[in-house]
This record gives sequence, structure tokens and C-alpha cells, in this order.
Amino acid sequence: MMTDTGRQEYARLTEKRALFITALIVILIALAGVAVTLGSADLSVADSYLAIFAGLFPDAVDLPDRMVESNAVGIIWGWRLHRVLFAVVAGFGLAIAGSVMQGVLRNPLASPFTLGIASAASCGASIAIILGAGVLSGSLLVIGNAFLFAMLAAAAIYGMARLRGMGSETMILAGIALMYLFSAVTSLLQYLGTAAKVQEVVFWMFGSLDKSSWPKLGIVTVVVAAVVPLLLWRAWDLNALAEGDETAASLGVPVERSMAGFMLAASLVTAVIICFTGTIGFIGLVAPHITRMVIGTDHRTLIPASGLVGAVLLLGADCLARTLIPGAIIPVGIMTAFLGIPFFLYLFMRRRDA
Amino acid sequence: MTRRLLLLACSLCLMAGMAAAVPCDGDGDGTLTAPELATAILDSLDARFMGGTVEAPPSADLQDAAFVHTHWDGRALTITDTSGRTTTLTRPLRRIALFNSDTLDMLRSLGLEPDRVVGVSKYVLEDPVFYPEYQGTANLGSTWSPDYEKAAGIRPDAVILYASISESSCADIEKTLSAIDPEIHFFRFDSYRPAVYADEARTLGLLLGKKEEAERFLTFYENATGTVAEVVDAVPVKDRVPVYLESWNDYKSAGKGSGYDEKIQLAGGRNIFGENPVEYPVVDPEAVISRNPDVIIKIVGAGETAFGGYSDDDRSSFEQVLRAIGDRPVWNQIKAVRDGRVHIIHTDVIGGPDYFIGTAYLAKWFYPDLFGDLDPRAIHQQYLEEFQRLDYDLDEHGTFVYPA
Repeated sequence: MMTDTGRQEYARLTEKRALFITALIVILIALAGVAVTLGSADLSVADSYLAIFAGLFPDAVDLPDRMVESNAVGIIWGWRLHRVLFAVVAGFGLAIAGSVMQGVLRNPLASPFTLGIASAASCGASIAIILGAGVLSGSLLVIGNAFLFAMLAAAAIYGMARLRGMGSETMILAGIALMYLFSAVTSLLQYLGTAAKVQEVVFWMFGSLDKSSWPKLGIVTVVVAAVVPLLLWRAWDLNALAEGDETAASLGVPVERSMAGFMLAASLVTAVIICFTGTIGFIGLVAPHITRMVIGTDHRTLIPASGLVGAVLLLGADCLARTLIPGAIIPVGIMTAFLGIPFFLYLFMRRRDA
Repeated sequence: MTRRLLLLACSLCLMAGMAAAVPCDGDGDGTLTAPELATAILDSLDARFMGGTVEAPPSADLQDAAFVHTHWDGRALTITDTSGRTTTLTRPLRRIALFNSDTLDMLRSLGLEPDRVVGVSKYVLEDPVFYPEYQGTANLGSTWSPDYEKAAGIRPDAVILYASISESSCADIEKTLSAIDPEIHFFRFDSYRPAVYADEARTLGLLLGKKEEAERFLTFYENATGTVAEVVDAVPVKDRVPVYLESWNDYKSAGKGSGYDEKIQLAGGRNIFGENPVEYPVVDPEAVISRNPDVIIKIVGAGETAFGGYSDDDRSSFEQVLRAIGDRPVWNQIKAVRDGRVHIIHTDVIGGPDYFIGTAYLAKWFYPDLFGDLDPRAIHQQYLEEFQRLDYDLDEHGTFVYPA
């Protein structure tokens, strides 16, 4: 009898999860369909889709003169399409990284931000922008520094946790300490920099999809596509880890090695995204929570579902960011917070009431 | 391997160079001669009005050819911008988009027709008093937050960006826009730095077919800067007036190599923080008191002091700033405060392309006896009327310096 109820409950949950994921995919596709028609160029919905087809099949489509004159194909293919896809992939990656970090550290506050990875990236970018110093040169200067510093922060947290023992509190404390350290360096640089350079740093830290391009989308997609199957494959370990180190160890999960592996994967995905976009806030924190509230904590579904929630959130925020003030783009990092936090709080309050 | 790549790149460049030829250059030797242009014009007239059957060049080609012949001696023009990049053009620039509003001022000084500018930064559109003729122009946003769709949609043939500030943002803009439209030419100019000011005006004059206008403007400009330099050069270094300069944030001064430091030197002053390695250091008030400057310069017009300038006729805010400096603890013992040599100046006449008006003011404040005849206000008025082509009377409008 007991097992029957349990099975029924589980079946119901599985159905709910499938429904949730399907709904997210439908919303995401619809949103992407809308997103490619939004923008300050004077293109109607039909124009936008015509331009997409004209780019795919230049010979088959006969473009009207006014669209040739306004460079509709260039605008759609050189700017809008990769931006929309970038929002999807970046939102997906950041949310997955967040849900892995929260799972490994068993702490709802864990995210690339609380672990200092984002502020390390900002610090690296500031050094590049204000001092002009970095590991790479030219247009890769800022990106290279941001990536390197983000990975350095991850390595430092890992190193400290290794020395002091791999407790989740240790990692979070180390991360928060690092966050303050990197923020202090960034503030010092801002204090010394010229107004124009400080402005540039501030805009970098807002987080924006303005810098997206096809090659960057390619890099981010490759990394996310490589890491996600790995994470899904090891999702059971995450479930075991979430029950506590001892439980995981008694189930045969190599605790320290898994933790390190998961943290490395999550840091890599985060670093590779935010080095291109700047710090996009809250996706990594909020998306996993929202997902968990709806479908529970099984990482086998939590990881892909929170990825989808992240993609919907970031793409939705970017659509709003591009249309709210005509002709101006509000940095998407600001929009994600405006969009994500109230929704998160709503779910949070509702759950408490029930 | 690298060499082979280089070779490939070179040959691609060569091919690109060949592909873009001077229009109506009949024999294809790279020089459009007067007879070639005449033939093209006659062919076109013949085809249009006499029923001629010769294949005539389109009128856009004809116009471009006439420009190249008149302004570039019939040859392709290769110019080097302030970032050191060279660009070769076979046709004039007719659709210019500027993220750099300082260069817009310079183009105005060169008499560029406003209809050749198709896009401007949001700062231009936010200032209808100074830029009345550009109020209907497309808004490109700012260097930090550009509107790429708008910028690409107006189909510019050239986009002008800053050379020395916001380098990484400008590089991003270039990359993104050229991905959308590979035919756009990019140029980097500053138009606010004394060291490159005259060279930039000459280059832009050549580029836009405004060579004579550029020379006329530079005569005016060099007259203004030269008058100051001549007198100042004769002042021995040890006798130079010690100056404390403060930008709109309290105690934010100017260190070694900064733009303000350069301008103090141009006006013959000695910056009391000129040895500070930080470009724009926030200084200790005690350090100012102990270095006891003869003159204090306070710059307003941005940040907390966003008043004054062309669209503000009220001087009371300047008065308050002046009083507040005197009221700082113990500052009444600084020589400049005691002698009433604290001057407020608006960033519009010192921070940008009109900096030479500001240095004239500074010079007059540093050495009132040596510059009795110098009239910075008259220079300013002439600049506005004759070169910025603005109907603006400084006697009636604007607040730029205090005490006047």
C-alpha cells in the first residue's frame, strides 16, 4: 500500500516535471520568435523573418528595395540573431552553473556572485580597461583578463578549501572573502581612473549582451554543450552530495573529487559566459530556486530545467531591455534583476504561505 | 606559416584596393584626369538629353568623380587617423556617423554641411542649444551603450570614434558594426587633445574636401594659441605661477600627463600636483594648503556641478561654488583665496575642442599684467559665430567663467 502511494506520487511528480520542461521549451521558442522581431531598426515582424530567410537562401528570396537600403539582412544576421541565441545559451549556462554550485555546497546562497567569481571577473576587466594591462592584447584584452581572473578565483577557493578541508562553509566563506578583496581592487582602480574609463568599467559591470557575436556564441555554446552532458551523467552524485558528505561517501561517491569536479565545471561555464557579457546578476541564484520550488530537488531534472528557466529569464530580460526605452538598451544585467527578483520573491512568499 | 598568411593578407588587400577604383577613371590608371572627367560628364549629358547611346556613368559616380577630381587631385586618398590606421578612399564620404561629439564640433569648424552627418551620439541630441541643426539626426546612443541597429540602419559610409578614450568600447563598436556592414570605414579622432588638434583638423579637412576651410580655421586657432604661447615661453620656469586645479568633484585634481595638467602648462602655470603619478588624483586638502597656490581653478559643468554652459544664463551657482571654496576650513589662508584669485570655468570651454578658449582665460588669470590685451571672450564669440556657425550672443547668454 505504502509503495503504491509512493509510486503514484513519483509518477505524478515525473509528469509534473515533464510538463514543466515542455512548457519551458515552448515558452523559450515563442520568446525567441518574438525576440528576433524586436529592435530599434525599422523592421516589421514580416520583414524580420524575410531577412532571416534572405540570409539563409540569398537566391530564393526577393528582398524589397527598402530592406536592401536599410541593410535588414545585415542587421538581423550580424546583430539580432546571435544576440538572441547568446541570451538563450548564456542564461542556460549561468543557471546550470548556479544549480550545480548550490547542490554541491548545499547552500541556497551559493552562486557565481557569492563565490567571488563574478567580482573577480569584474576586477580583471577593470585592470584591462583602466590600466590597459592584461594577458592578451587588442580586443581580447578585457575578455582574457575577465576569464583569467574568474578562473583564478575559482582555483583560489578550491585551494583554500583543500587546505582547510573541503567543507561547504569553508568554500562559501572563502568565496565571500575573495569577493570583498576583488571588489576592493576594482574600487581602488575606479578611484584612480579617469571619468571615461570608470564609465567603461561601470558599463562592463552592468552586464550586457551588446558584445555578442557569432564566434563568441560559438565558444560559449561549445563549452556549455560539453559540460551539460557531463553534469547530467553525474547528476546522481549531486543528489547524493546534497544529502551530506557522509551519506554521499557511504553511497560510494568520491566526495572531495566530485565536489572539485563539479565546482570546476560550474566555474568554467560561468567564467566563459561572463567574460563576454560582464556580470549578469541573479540568473545563477534565482533560476535554480524557481525551478526547485516547482519540481523539487532531483538534480537529474533540476539541472536541465533550471537551465531552461535561466534561458527564458535572460532572453525575456533582454527583450524588455531592448524595448522598454525606444532607441536605448538598458543593460540586461539590470533587467534580469528587475524581472527575476520579484518573481522569485512571489514564489518564495507563496510557498511559505502554503 | 606566418609569412604565408601575411602574404595572403597582403594580396587580399591589394585585390581590395584594385576592386575599389576611382569612379570614371576611364583608362584605369588610378588617376582621374580632367579629360576623363569631361568625357564622363559629356557622355552622361549626351545619354540624358541628346539620346546618345554611349554607356554613361550613373550620376552618383559622376558626383563622386567630380569631388575626387576637385579635392583629391583625381587620385585615391590615403589618410592616417590618430590611432595610426591608414585608410584609402576612392569616393568622398557622404554619410558620416559620429559617436565622437568633439569631432562633430571640429567638423563644424571646417564648415561641413550638416546633411552629410547621418547619425550622432545621444549627448548631441541632449544639447539643442549648442547643436540646433542636428536635433533631427539619428540617435546612435553612446560609446558605452551604442544602438547598433540604428547605427547600421542609417547606412553610414564612415563611423568616427574616439582614438584615446574608451578604447575597448570603441573597439567593440567597430567589430560589431563591421560584422553587420563590412563596407563601413572607421576613423579614430579625438579633437580635444592639444597635441593632435591641428593635425586632426588638417586630416579631416582633406578627407572631407574642406582643405581651405581647415586652413582658415587653423589660422584662427593658431593665432589664439600662439599669442598665449609666445608670452608664456618668455616666462622663466622658476617664475611660473603655482596653480591648484580642481575638477567638478571636490579635491579631485589633475596629475602628471593629464589633459588639465597639459592645459595649465600651455597657459604658463605650474600645476602644484603636476608630479603626481595618478592622472586624476583625489588630493588631501592639507596638501593644497601647504603648497599654497597663487591661483585656484575650479572646473564645473558635470557631476554635482552640472550647471552653466550654453543653456544656463544664471551665475548664482558659480557664485556659490566660489564661496564654498573660500569657506573650506583654513583655506582662507591660501594665497589664492586671500588675493581673490579663485576662478571658476565651465568644462565646455576647457575640456573639449574649444579648449583654446579656456587656456586663453587661464593665461589671463595667471598673468593679468602680461595679457592685458588678450580677450578670451572675443575669441569665444568669434569661434561661435564664424566657425561653429551659431547665432549665439555671449553678452546675453551662457555662463562660462566666474568672476567674469
